[in-house]
Amino acid sequence: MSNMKFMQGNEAVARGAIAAGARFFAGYPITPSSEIAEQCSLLLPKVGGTFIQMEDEMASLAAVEGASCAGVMGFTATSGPGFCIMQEHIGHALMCEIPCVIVVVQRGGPSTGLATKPAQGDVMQARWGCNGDHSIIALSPSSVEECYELTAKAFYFAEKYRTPVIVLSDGITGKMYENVNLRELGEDELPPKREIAGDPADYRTYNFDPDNIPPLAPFGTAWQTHLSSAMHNELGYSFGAPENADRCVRYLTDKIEKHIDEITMTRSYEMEDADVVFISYGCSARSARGAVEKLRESGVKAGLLQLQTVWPFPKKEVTAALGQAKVVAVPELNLGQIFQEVAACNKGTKLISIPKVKGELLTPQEIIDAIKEEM
Amino acid sequence: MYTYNDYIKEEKLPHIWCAGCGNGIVLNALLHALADMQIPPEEVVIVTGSGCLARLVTYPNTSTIKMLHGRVLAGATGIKLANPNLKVFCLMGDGDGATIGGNHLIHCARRNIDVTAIICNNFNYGMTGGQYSATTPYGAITTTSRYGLVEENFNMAELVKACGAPYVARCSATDVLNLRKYIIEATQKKGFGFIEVLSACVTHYGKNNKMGDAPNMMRQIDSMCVPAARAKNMTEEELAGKYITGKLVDRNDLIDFGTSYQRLREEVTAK
Amino acid sequence: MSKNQIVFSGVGGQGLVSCGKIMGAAAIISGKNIAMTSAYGSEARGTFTKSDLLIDEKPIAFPQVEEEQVVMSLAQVAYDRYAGKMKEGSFMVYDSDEVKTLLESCKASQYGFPFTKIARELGYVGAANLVAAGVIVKLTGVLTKECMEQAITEKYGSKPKALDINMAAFRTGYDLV
Repeated sequence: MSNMKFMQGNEAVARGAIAAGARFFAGYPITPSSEIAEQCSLLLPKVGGTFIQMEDEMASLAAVEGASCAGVMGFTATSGPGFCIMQEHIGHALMCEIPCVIVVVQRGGPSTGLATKPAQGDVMQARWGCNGDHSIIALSPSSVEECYELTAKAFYFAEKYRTPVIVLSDGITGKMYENVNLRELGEDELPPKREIAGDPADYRTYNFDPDNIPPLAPFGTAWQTHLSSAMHNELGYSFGAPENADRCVRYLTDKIEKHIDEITMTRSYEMEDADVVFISYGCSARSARGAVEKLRESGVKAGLLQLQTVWPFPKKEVTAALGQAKVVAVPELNLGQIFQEVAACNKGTKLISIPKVKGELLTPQEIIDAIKEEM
Repeated sequence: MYTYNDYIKEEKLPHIWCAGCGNGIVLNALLHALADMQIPPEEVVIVTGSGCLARLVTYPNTSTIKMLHGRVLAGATGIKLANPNLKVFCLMGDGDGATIGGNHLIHCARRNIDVTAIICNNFNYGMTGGQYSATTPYGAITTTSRYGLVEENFNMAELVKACGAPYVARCSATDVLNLRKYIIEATQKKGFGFIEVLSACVTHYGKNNKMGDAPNMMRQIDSMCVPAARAKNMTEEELAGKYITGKLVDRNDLIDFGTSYQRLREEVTAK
Repeated sequence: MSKNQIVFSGVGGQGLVSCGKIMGAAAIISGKNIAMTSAYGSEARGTFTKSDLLIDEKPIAFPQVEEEQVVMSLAQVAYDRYAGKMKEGSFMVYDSDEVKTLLESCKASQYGFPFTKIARELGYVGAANLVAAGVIVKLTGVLTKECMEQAITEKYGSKPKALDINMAAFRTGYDLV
């Protein structure tokens, strides 16, 4: 059923979360993400949920983790500096395997940077921001529609893989208003319910099998859980043996990377016959779409591979795009964070980085100018 | 009918703490209090952070979570608000609860979250080797204040009281029966229940400050305790360096966050 | 020149975003795609601000105005920023109460009306944005009058007085050109 609205990206994030079944938000205000908190304070109590503004970003994600352990899907929203503060808790959620969603509306950095201007400088912070080896899921919306859809999807992945999932929005996508269909999600699109059966005595909080991740039993049920961010055994008790540490770390990577095909989401624009290919994500994908339209008008076979899933990095799709193109360019609002990943997949295609860190969108013309000499 | 044995995983004993440490006493008092209150074990969540006391999660036969260092009360806030039927017990050392987690302590008390918070104050960071914390007394020797500490310490019970907590109590770890009683009262209080337990770290704080063996150190801590009724008739000078013990706050005029928020939910959905 | 790339410009607090939201709702009623992006600083009031509005039959690829086809300027600082770079065939719609110094070499067709005064006479100075919107809707034809009226009704339907004033503001603007 169509439920078309003219809405801001940040609000669509809140709506997508609620549509997916999230009923808890804890956050700390920061530009340009604050509308997400504001919308949650308005909407959550009406659906029996809880909004709380915490004293800082650490407390925010800690409270979200707590709610998730108690069986209520939760999320938080922030921007670069707040995302830095949350990193320790992202590691905690990864290690404890607590499903939760962190929305990052990126702004100019480093540090305070450009508070009201867009950027995509937190791509690598999303990947490697917390200590230790791990893998992570990060989805990047490029439209208000995708703010709704990908936030809902983030909860699906969070529950399915029992992991924190990052929604990498940005100051353009989050603040932009567009038409969005606030559709009802289908049964199979909703996050899987935590169905736990069997003798409580046999329940194990962990089992370290990437293909058989045990659902996290909510506190208050017969299934006792012990959550620990220290290296632990199946029951969740600290266990520091070298072989166990090796098992824990490899498992945390494998449980994401082994399911990369299911987690990877991309969109193709005019890719069928494209020999000039842009690979982009988030707000920069919109700049690239503008460039594709203009180039097509002038007879250039241009196309765009948009990465909705940024992490785990969609190597297969990117490799295929590199294989079909004469020229590949990567426009992004940073100095080449995803470009480096594309380069690692490249086997000789002409590859161009189109970085911009001025706190404003790349324009289609800037992208065209950047590749002109290569065409 | 639940008994103490329903709350403890005996096979995990003996515990890991040093001889003379108060942590075992706190664990014992907590589990006895749970049995006294007949709370079904599956309705109990024990939340800890980092440090010696955080290792307590190994022993109770209930669900447990180790939050990050300092974030015990922030995590507990989410747990309690998501499922108000749970009984949430937050066990922290003075490093976890009053130092790195001090900000969460004051805000959790101010918001009046309906959890029970127990800070076991042994005046230093035991697990990391005896460094000073926000409760280490002025002048004390620790491994990071070799010449004597030049900072003043928090009076935690007064701090939490000033933040508006409806229940605050303090006792020495040797005062086992009162501790058990305070845990019950704090749990039954709708709102933030706070207990500070003065405890001996024989291995570090005691050794560094020449407080003798475990019994000697416990006696010295007991001698620093002044029951509230007696403290009323003492001068400020007489109370210097002392800890006023007993039930310090017991209010029924405050509404906890969860109750207020539930009212708000009902109001906005009725509109 | 097509007329689907529109800039609302002025200073913070003039209701540019809420004006855009009404046009956005109207675009949805008429089944069109719409995107609005805003540039803003850390100040809430009084400094230059603008919103880019794109309305199209097809999905909008790039959500910012690349060519200022229609500009609404509710302040001198906003007018000054755009008047010099607009091309032949574009429209500059400005508030003649606020914009006193015009650029003679401006290539755009210029439409100045006392939006603030009109709005004040209607009973609410804050409705100046909708008077201007009326002019823009009529000039560009990107939206129908009916869709705008429906969007205004949906927004203010529960507040009869606000509905009256805002509807009157839009209709007055619409009839100015």
